[in-house]
Amino acid sequence: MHSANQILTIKINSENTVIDINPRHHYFVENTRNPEHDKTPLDQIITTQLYEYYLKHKNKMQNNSQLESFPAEILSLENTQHLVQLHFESKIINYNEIENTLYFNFINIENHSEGRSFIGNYAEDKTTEKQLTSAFEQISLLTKENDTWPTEDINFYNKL
Amino acid sequence: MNTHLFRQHIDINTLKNEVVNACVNDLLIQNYPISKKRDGIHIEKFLHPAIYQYYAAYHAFLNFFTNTLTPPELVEINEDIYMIEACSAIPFKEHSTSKQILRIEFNCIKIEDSILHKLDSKNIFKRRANKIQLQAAYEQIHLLLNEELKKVNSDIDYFNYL
Repeated sequence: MHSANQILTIKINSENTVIDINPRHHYFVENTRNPEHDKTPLDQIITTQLYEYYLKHKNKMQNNSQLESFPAEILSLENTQHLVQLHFESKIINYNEIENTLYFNFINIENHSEGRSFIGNYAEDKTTEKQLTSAFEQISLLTKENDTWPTEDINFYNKL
Repeated sequence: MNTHLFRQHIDINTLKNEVVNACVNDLLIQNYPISKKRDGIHIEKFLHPAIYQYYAAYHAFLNFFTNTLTPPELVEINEDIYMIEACSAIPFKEHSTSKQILRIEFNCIKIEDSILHKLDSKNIFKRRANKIQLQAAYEQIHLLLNEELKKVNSDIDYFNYL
């Protein structure tokens, strides 16, 4: 399995410094030095695109929150498109320390399929199409009837 | 968005096609509590129909090539769109018999409308357009019928007046 399809788990502290990263060798990881020793900021560890995606949602992340999910995005790396979704978890360690865990989930969508006509959906689609056709026929009938109403009304009044 | 779709797995007894163990999100399955049943549940009854269709399409592939990802596909579950892929492993195999447990791991990512158009999902857009058109058509019929009713009533009133 390609590394890009593995979940990238990154633990960071409140200063945005990486505490732990797993797996260390990942398609979206640029710097594979030991983050625990180097105290490397997150932007120097992951690719720029992935960091930009993280930044978009950073402000919405709440301290001490249980697992949250953020909208997925399409990232392109070396001409390969990946769908990425960020999940986030936050834990207060002590008075000064907060540990945030970022889970980046990936799907390589280079050869994705738009989706088959599933049996359920296919039947539902056919029903909707039939309903739509009959609705349009009914509208056309009613509109025609509407057109003949004034004539019928005049005939009726004349008779009276 | 409250649904967390981390990679989750089901274990299948390939001899009977029954689910023997599962750790999956509610979205992936039908309302069928596995823990309350002693017997295994047939995979078709267990999985959500859309997920089952995907599994069925790649069943042979998953059985044959373990640790290889199936091609990702868009699926529609309860009007939400997900990109889904799967891979398999064989945690148990008895060589003397054909007993085997196949573990399928599903990976799902929810697709928001903001990026759906980038994935060329013609079927989904067509389906949505049809539903909107149908609703508008019904509303139009309702309006036309109301107008006709008004005219009939006014004719009746006039007739009574005469």
